[in-house]
Amino acid sequence: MSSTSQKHRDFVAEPMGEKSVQCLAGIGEALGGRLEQKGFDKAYVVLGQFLVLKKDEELFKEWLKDVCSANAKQTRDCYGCLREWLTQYSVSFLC
Amino acid sequence: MAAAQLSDEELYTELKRSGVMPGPVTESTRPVYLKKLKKLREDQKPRAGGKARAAAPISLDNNSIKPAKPESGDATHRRRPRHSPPEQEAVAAKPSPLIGFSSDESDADVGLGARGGRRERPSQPARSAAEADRRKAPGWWGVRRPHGSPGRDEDGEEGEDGDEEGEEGGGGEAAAKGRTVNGSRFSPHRDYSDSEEEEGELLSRRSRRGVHRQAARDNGMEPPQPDSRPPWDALPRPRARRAHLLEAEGTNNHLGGRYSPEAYQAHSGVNSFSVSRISHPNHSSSNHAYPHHSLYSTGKKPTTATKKTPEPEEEQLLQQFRGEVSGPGGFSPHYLSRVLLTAACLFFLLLGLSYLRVRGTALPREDAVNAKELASDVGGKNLLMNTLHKLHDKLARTAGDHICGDADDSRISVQEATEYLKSLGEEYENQLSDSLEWILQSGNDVGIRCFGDRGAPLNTGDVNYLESTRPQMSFICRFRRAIVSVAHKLLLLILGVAILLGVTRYMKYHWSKEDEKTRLMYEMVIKIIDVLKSHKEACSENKELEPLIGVPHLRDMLIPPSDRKKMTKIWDLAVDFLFVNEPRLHSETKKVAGEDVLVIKWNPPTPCEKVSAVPSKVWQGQAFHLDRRNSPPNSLTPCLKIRNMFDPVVEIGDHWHLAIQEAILEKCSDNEGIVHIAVDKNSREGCVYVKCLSPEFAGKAFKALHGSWFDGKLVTVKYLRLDRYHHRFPQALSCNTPLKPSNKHMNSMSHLSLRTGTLNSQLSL
Repeated sequence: MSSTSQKHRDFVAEPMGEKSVQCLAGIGEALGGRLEQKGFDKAYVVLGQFLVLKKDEELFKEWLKDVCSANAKQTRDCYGCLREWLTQYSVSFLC
Repeated sequence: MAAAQLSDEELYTELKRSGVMPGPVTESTRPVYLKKLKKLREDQKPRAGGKARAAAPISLDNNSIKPAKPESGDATHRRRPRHSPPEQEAVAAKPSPLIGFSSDESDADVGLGARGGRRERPSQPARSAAEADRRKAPGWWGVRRPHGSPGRDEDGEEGEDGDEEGEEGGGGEAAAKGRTVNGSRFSPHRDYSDSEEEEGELLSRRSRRGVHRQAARDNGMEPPQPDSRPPWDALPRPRARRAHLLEAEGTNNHLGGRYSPEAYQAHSGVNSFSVSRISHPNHSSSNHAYPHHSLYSTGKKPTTATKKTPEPEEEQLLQQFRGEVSGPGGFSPHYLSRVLLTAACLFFLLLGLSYLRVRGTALPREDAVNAKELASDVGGKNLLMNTLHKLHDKLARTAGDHICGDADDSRISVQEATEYLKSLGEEYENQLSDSLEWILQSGNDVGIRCFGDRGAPLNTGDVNYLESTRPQMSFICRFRRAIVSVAHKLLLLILGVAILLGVTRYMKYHWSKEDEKTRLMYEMVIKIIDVLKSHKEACSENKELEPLIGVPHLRDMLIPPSDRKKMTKIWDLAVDFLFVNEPRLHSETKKVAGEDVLVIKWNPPTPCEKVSAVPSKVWQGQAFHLDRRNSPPNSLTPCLKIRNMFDPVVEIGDHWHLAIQEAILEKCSDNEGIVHIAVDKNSREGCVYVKCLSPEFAGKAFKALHGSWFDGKLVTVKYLRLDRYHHRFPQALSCNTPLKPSNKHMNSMSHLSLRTGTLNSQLSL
């Protein structure tokens, strides 16, 4: 990835803890609101969905597009952010 | 709802069978997997001519999950039954040898759908109508779905497929009407149409639907399949076949564009529509621009396509026609020279003829005059007239001979005339005097002039010589004279032209020489400036050198002796140019060895001087005053980390760190507790680590260094824990002897003492 947003770096910089779903890169207020309406209120829930989809980029992006009408860039950002977070914090047991 | 009929387990097994290892199918992942399955299904569909239907996928995408579910589920279902049978049949024979093709193909498909399909869409209302139909009535498919389990569906569809194949076998191109697009589309490619049997050779409605589905998949909204996708066991065969087909249509999609026009021409009448469509996908699937193929691919309808076909032919014809037209035009220069030659010949011929005619007319005129005279005189004077005639002829001949150079004199004496008349006959003998009298009396120019010894004779007795006023020359003579005169004139003309050419040639030569001279002059000017600059630099390094250079000396430096004479002019020009146009040049006359010599000096612009004047590695003063607010109250460790002392990028040589150590020691000259200094040569921040004997010394050094300007940078100091320092520089453990500046000159401080006042006032602002 050529460059990452500040949001991406912030998210990847630390364990996500109880961070809101809106802390994910590519997820703003609008998408965050939609996700929360569907029960994806925390970032770790989205991470869970990501893991359930077996970290598949295509499927995850598709899902995000469906669930909150995200555009290509938003899905890409969100995917990149989660993937990097995972490589950062779950190397031992996931990757 | 239709979607509900595909349970989670079914979906899971379906996906698994398609080569995907899906995760758990849950309520939230279900739509995604359904879409995935749909996509996979569509991947095995034939490329249906890139009928990209933006509407179908968009409608799915824009729906939220729940509404999307039924439709997508529906889509998957109606696809599954149709295509699973051939897949299954094929799988056994072809495991998955050609999976490498898949990504290419899907890429091509995406490209094709994104471009070609959409363009065609508005022109095919029939299809869009069918499409709309399909969307409006999903129940149509729902009806088919209840077949139940996949296995049953497959069975049913196998029969259907068989029907389709049979139909295909019999139908051939005749089925084109019924099948509209798909059936006829591949008719020019019978050899490869087997892949179509599974996919495209359906009833017209189904084929159209296939088109739509294809379009939906081809639509740019769905990304191409990644290469890494596990082999979907159903995928290989259709894909491979389609790849094959692609190759057949035109390898690498490049040929395709070329192929289609040919095919189009071959079937222009019947299959024009289909072939134009083939060309279309080919064109759009290749991601290259085919300007001349776009001619075909932009054909949206058969009509437009047929309209377009004649174009190349027309063009060809036009070109031929043009060739014919330009044929004579191309020969025309050839003809022109001939025509010119002929014209020149004609011109000279006419010239010569006219010249001869002018000469020739002299005689008849005289005859006329004579005849007039004859008539005016008494009719009986025939003898006299005859005499005059004879005389005139004789005289004219003589004059002509003279002009031609045969006779010595153009005149004949009276005696000669008498003899001539005598030789003609007795009767003419005494006519001479009468003739002369008549000539003199007539007063007109009758062609014979009489000369006397003293000017114009008044009577016959005085006449000594006779001369013709109209010399008559022989033809050869006249011809020769004509040629000579023409040649003479031509010579003059050629001479004039030659002179003109010579003048222009000379002018050109002169100008080019001038240009060359100017160029050389500018080169010389640049050389001079270079030399002066380098000399100036040399002077700044070596103070003993004389900054002034004599002009002759400079010339001798720049021009080798062999060229010196040749280059004198250019040199003078260059020097003059420099004196006039170069303000950075300072010139004066100086006496060298008793001789006045013009010397010049390079005065570089002032900024350069300033830069070179500022020495490096010096302390330039304090940026701010230290007090309690900006410095720690007391030091706890004896170690310091000094930052921003240097920029490793601009440092050159191996010993620059010594200069920095020296500068620190000089700055802390009153501090005798510094025992170790380490310059981190690789640090971007220009870090220097200092260890003192005790925290007190470190505090003093901190105060001395923190917030100082060094070499144009603001130095900052931090305390460093002793253990970390030792960890980093183990050799510092044993350092206990205070370091001292190596000399007393305090080079790095001298600048400070000089400039302290001004700089401090500037920097503290």
